[in-house]
Amino acid sequence: MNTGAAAEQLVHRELVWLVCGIGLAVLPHCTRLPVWIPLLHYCLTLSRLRIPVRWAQQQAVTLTTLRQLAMVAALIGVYSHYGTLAGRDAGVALLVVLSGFKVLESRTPRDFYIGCFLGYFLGITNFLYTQTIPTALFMCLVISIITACLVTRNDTGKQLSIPARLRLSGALLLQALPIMLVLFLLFPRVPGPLWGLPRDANTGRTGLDDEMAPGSVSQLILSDAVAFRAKFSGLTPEPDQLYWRGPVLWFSDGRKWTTGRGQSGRDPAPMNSYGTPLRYEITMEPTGKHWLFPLEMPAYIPEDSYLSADFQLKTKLPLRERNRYTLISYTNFRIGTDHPAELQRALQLPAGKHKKTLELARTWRQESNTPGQIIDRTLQWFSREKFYYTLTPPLIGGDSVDEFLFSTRQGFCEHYASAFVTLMRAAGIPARVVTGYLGGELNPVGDYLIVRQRDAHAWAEVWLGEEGWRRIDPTAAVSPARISEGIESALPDSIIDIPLGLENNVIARDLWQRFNNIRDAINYRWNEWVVGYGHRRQIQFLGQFGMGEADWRGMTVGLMAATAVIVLCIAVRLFGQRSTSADPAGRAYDQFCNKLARQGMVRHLSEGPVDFARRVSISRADLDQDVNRITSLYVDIRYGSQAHGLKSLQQQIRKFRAGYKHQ
Amino acid sequence: MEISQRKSDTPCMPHELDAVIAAINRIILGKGNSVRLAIACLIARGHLLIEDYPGVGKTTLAHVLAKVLGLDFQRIQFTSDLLPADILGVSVYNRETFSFDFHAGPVFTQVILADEINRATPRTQSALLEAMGENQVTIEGETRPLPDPFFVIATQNPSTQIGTFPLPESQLDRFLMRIELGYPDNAAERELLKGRDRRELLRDVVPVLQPHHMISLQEQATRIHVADALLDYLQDLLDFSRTSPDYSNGLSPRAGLAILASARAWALIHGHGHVLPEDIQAVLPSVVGHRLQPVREQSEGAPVKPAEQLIRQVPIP
Repeated sequence: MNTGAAAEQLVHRELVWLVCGIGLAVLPHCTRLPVWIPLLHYCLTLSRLRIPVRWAQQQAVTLTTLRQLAMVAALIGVYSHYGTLAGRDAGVALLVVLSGFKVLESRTPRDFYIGCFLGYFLGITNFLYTQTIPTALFMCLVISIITACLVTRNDTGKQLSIPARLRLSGALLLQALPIMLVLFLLFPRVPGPLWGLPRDANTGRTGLDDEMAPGSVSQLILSDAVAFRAKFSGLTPEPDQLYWRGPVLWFSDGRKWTTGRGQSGRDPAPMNSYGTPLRYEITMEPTGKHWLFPLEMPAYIPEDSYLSADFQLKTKLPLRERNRYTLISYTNFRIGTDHPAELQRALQLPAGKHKKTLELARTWRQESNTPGQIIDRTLQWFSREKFYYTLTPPLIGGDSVDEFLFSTRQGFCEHYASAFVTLMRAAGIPARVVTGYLGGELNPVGDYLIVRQRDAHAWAEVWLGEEGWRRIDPTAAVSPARISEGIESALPDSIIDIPLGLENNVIARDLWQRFNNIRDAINYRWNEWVVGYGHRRQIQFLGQFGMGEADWRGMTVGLMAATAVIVLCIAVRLFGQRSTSADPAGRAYDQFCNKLARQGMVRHLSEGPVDFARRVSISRADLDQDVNRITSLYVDIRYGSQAHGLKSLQQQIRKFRAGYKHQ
Repeated sequence: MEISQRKSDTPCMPHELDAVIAAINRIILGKGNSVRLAIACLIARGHLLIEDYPGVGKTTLAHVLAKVLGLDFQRIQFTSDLLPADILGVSVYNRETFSFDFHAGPVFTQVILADEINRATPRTQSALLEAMGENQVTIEGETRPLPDPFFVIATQNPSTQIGTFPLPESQLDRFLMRIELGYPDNAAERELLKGRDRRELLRDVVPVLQPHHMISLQEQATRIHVADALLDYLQDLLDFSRTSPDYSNGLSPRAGLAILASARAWALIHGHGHVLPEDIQAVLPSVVGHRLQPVREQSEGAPVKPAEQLIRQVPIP
């Protein structure tokens, strides 16, 4: 390796490009990796640029030993941080570290090429984390820079400037675009992920869960992340109808509500629906959990999901990728009786807690005749007494319900729902907490609703005998605006980020809102057509061209046919270079050269016509006469002072056949 | 029409030039291209610089050129103590006529071989170089014309050798071409070793041309047709040398004229009725090799010859 010829050594400029390309590919990982890993990578690659060649050769043995020791240490570091060397996170960490070492030891062109391909792969690994438009744009940049590395390496004349190299790399990538599109559209997609994602792929996502403690929903309110999008085929219902039903919580330990056990597995209770059905599609962001969030109440559910007894809609498999579901719901409904055991569970209270609340409930029960009266009284109490709806309630230390109802009186939907259900149960009315989302933001650009994590909500359902389960939203008694106008109006402005301190400027608010709408509409299309282009969407897309029935075999054939057509077009373009000459003789001569080029005899741009003719004569003695005659005529017209003969030249060139003569 | 006329003007010249080349090739073995370039240089009225290591036949080439072309010949061996007067001549007081007589120096001849020009001091070098530029010599206020044709064939050792004064760029520019001879190939070397002594052979050489032939050839060369398409190519070459970041300075307009004149001479030698791009490519390395400085790059591989790079990178329009 060290004795390689001088020309086989990498030059500094190539290494700078390589280091930049790989460094950019690693950059987005910095936020996801422990800080020492990217740091080590950058130290290694930058030090490769600084090591003097002679010194490195003298100290080769020491350096190699050092490098190996450092690599073992880094491997141990990665292992001790992740507990494994496999999986997405550990794998990426390993790749980042080792690519640093690869650059450090790069000596030969072979190392350089490996470095470039490592760079491409490092770029791809970013898509394991995020598949947004900015990521895709950034990766385009990374890929064009790494391609420019390859351009630099093969720029034997060393005559290209930096912008010229980037331009060339961009042109190369643009030329690859048709093939890329064909591969994207026609490569057979299988339903479900192509390979099992590692376990850690879905951790750390925010979203509703099967338990609710004070503060768990208000934490979600801080998140701008999209929970799902919904598009109605008809009119979008009023905001106060948009209750998206999620986990139903039955069991309280005094502070935390959970779903409890045993209620699933039974069929849902019978439901009577009234009014017009609402047909809509929801596009769920991946949550790693099972819940779908249908509009209350769903009547038609997707195939791969089921309704539990308390009307939680769950998928059979956890939502690991963005998915779209078609549903039908009725906002006017009545869900009927159920198992007596269920009503029993809806009266459960933690033993020995909420003493004051129980006391209050007992008085109310004695003073009222029907459950309806108790409910009304409670809601009136909420709205008349000084209860506040706030995102930042004071911390509650002791008995969460008692303290909330009788001292702090500041809370969020979860506080109200939990206190209300506790009161109802104490008064002997079966009740349960329902969590989900309320409302959503209508995006006029795409005419769909965006439901974000900050729309998370909790409300209550009480059992009213004949009437069945009825939804009561105690938050409405405290903050009616939250229900009718959405979360933004119920919360202080600081929740909605408006940059540059323009919160109070109406026009700025409006513009910002519109900008966000457009941005989300673009994202929606991106998710729908690029990220979400899976099996189903592929079939749907190909169906437009009458290929809806195509299976993977058909697609493969189509893929190959389309690729062949593209390659053919490129070949025709390459060999049929259009003449750029303004001179008619020059144009005719270019035509002549094209004919020879098709036979593999390509004239170099700086090769003179006589030299070229000599070369052709040597390799193809059968063309000797024709080529020399045409060339000398051309030379006389173009470089001599001969003015006539152009017609003859054009005629001879038209007749000229460069193919092998069959004799 | 024009072409055929022109061809009839010079019915036997290419043939005679062939005889010249053949005669030289009998002495200088295996260096056909260098010999043709040297003759082209003379036809283009240029001075020739031969740069190579000692013993490859620089001096012999200069000798045989002068002899075959039938021109007067003087040789000046440049040394570090050579003075300008040694080249140009001196005025000596004549006691009989009570006046100063001018004793012409060796510069007053048709062909001068300035051997190892880079061994002399810059002062002496410039004395000769003035003569080359102006075709005249000014001594003690009196201007004396030099004979026509007037050629300087200078030889120099590569300046890495010890004890040399490298010619500055402005003076290198006075030479139309710089050529290298290089070592002979295997067959030529064998023939050289087996053959007779070169000096003896040189003595036997007879002139092929008369001095006025050379002047006629020079005139014919200036009349060789140059098409617009060829000028386009030449201008592209000049432009590229000026805009490319690879050269520290581009080619001057004088260099452009030098390329054209040399290409015309080359076309004449090869019997072309007009200048072809190939003619330019053939003379370009010798004409621009000493005028074009590549930008130095650290740690790059083998140095690329600037003229070859220029040819490769500029497409023929």
